[in-house]
Amino acid sequence: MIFDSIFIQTYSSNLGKPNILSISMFFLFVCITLYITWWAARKTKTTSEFYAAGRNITGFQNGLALAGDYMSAASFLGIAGMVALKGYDGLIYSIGFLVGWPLIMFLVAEPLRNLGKYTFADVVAFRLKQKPVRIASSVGSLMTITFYLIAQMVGAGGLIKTLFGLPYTLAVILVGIVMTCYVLFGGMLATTWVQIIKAILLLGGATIIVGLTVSQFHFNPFELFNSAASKYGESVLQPGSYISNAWDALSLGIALMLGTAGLPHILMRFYTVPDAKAARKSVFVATGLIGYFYILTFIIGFGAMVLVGKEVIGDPASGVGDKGGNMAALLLAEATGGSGFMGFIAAVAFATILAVVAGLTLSGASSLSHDLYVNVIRNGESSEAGEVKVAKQATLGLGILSIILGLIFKGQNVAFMVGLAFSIAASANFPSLFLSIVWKKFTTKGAVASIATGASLSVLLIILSPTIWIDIFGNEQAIFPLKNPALISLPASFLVGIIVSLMSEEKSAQEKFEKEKARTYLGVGSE
Amino acid sequence: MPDNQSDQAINSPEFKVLEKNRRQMSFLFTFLILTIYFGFILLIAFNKEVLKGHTGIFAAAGIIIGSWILTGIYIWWANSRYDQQKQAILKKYFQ
Repeated sequence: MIFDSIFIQTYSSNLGKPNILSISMFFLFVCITLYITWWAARKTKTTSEFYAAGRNITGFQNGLALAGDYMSAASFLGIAGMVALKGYDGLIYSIGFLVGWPLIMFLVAEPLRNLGKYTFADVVAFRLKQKPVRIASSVGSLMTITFYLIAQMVGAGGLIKTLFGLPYTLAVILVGIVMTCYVLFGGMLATTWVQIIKAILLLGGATIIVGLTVSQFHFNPFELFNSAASKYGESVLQPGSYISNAWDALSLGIALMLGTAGLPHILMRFYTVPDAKAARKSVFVATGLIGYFYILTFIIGFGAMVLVGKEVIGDPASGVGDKGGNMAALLLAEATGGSGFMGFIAAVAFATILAVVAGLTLSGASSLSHDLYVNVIRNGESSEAGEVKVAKQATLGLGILSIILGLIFKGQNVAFMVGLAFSIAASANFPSLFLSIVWKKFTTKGAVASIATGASLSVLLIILSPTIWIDIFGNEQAIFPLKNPALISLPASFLVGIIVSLMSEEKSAQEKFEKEKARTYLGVGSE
Repeated sequence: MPDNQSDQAINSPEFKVLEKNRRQMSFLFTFLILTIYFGFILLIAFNKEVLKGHTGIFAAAGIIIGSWILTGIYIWWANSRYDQQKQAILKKYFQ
C-alpha cells in the first residue's frame, strides 16, 4: 500500500486545461437555451404560463423534463465515481434514488394534479386554513430548496474550476446569472425545455460513453465486470461496506425514497400537463429514463475502474483524482473517446447543473409568490399581472441569493446538504401532503405540527450526526449515531401529525374532504 | 359545477367502488415497492452472501427494471379499468 503512493505518477490527461472545444460547446448550449428563453418569454405573461407553462406540456415531454430535473451533475459524476471506487455499493446507492418514482405514481401524482394549481402547498392547504398551512409548507419547501441549491452551486463552482480552469467565483456568478435568466424571462416554459434538452444530452452522452466502453469488451458488460473483478478482486461486484449498519441504510433509504415524493421542484412539474392521465405518462417516462440512467452510470463506473484505474480516480496525487472519484466519468470519456469527447461531456455536466438550479429557483419563486405573497399576505386575492410580477421579483432575489450562498460556502464539504434536503422533503413535505390527500381527519394544526416536527428534527439530528458533529465540529463521538435523520424524523412527523389532528377536530376540513372527492378521483373542477 | 351533481356522484355505488379500487391498488403497489426495496436493503445488511458472483448485479438490475414495470402495470390499470369506471360516472352524473 505504501509503495502505491510513493510511485504514483501523475496521470496524463487534458482534464482541467481550458479546452476550446468544450467551452464552445457549452457556449452553444447557453446560446440555444437563451434563445429558447426569449421565445418562451413572449408566451409567459399569465400565472398559468409562468408557473405551469400554460399546462401545455405533453406527458412525454414532461417525463423528459422530470428526468432532467432529477438527474443532477452530482449524481452523474458522484455515482459514477462511487461505482468506480467502490463497485457494487454505488449501484445500491443509486437504486434508492429510483424507487421514489413508483411511489410518486401510486400515491401522489394524480391527486396532486387534480387538487392543486401551481405548488404542492395548494394540495396540503386545499381544505385546511390557508395561512398557517401555506406558511408551514413554504418553509418546508424553501428549506429543501435552499440546501439543495447550496449543494448544487458549490458543486457547480468546483466543477467548472476543475473542468475549465475558470475561477470559482466567476463560475458561481456565471451559473447564477444564466439560470436566473431562464426563469425570470421564460418561466416554466423555458425551464421545461432546458430540462428536456439537458436530459437528451446527458442520456445521449452517457450512452455514447457506455457504447465506446463496452465495445472494448465485445459489447458484453459482464466481460467488463469480470475484468474489474480480476483487476481489483471479486469484492467489487459484491456489496461492500456501504450497508454496514442496517439502521443507517434504512434511514438513507427512507430519505431517498420518500424524499423524492416530497421534492417541491419535482412535484411542481405535474401541473404543467393538462390532466391526470398525462401526469401518469410523465411518471412512466421519467422512471424509465432515470432507471436507464442509473444502469448507465453503473457501467460507466466500472468502465472507469478498469480503463482508467482506481489509483488515478481516487487519489489526488494523480493530478486528476479526488476522494469521491468525481472525475471518473470524464476520465473514462477521455480514455474511450479522446479529449474532444471529454470536453463534450464536461459541457453536458455544466449544462446539467444549470438546468437543475433553474428548476429549483422556479420552485422557490413559486413558493414565495404563490404561497406566501398571494395566499398569505394578500389573502388569496391578487391580479394575474401582480402575481407574475412578484414571482419575477422572487426569482431575481433567489438568483442573487443563490450566488451569495455559493460564494459563502466555497470550499465547504456540502455533500451532506443533499441528504439533508431529501430528509426534510421526506419528513416535512411528504407526510403532510400524503395525510392531506388520504386522511379525512387531518387538521390544520396537525399539518403545521407535522411539518414543523419533520423539518426541525431533520436539521437538529443532522447537526448531532457524525457528518457535522464529528467531521465539522471535531467532536469525538456523535450524539445522534445515524448519518441521515429520516428514520426518526419521518415517523415522528407522521405521528405528530396524526396525534395533533386527533386532538384538534376540524369539522369544516372533514366536510371538504368528502366534497372534494369528485375532484380528487374524477378530476372534476381541477385547474 | 352544481353541487348536487358532485354530491350525487360521490354518494353513488359506482363511485364507492371506484374509490375502493383506487385505494386498494395504491396501497397494494406501494406495499410491493416498499417490500422490494427495503427487502433488498435488509438482505444486504444481514445476509449479503446471498449475492455471490453476479447475482447482486442481476438483483439490482431486476429491481430497477422491475420498478419501472410495476409503475407501468399500475398505469395500465389506471388507463383502462379506472378510467373506464371514471368515464361512466362522469357520463351518468355530470351531464
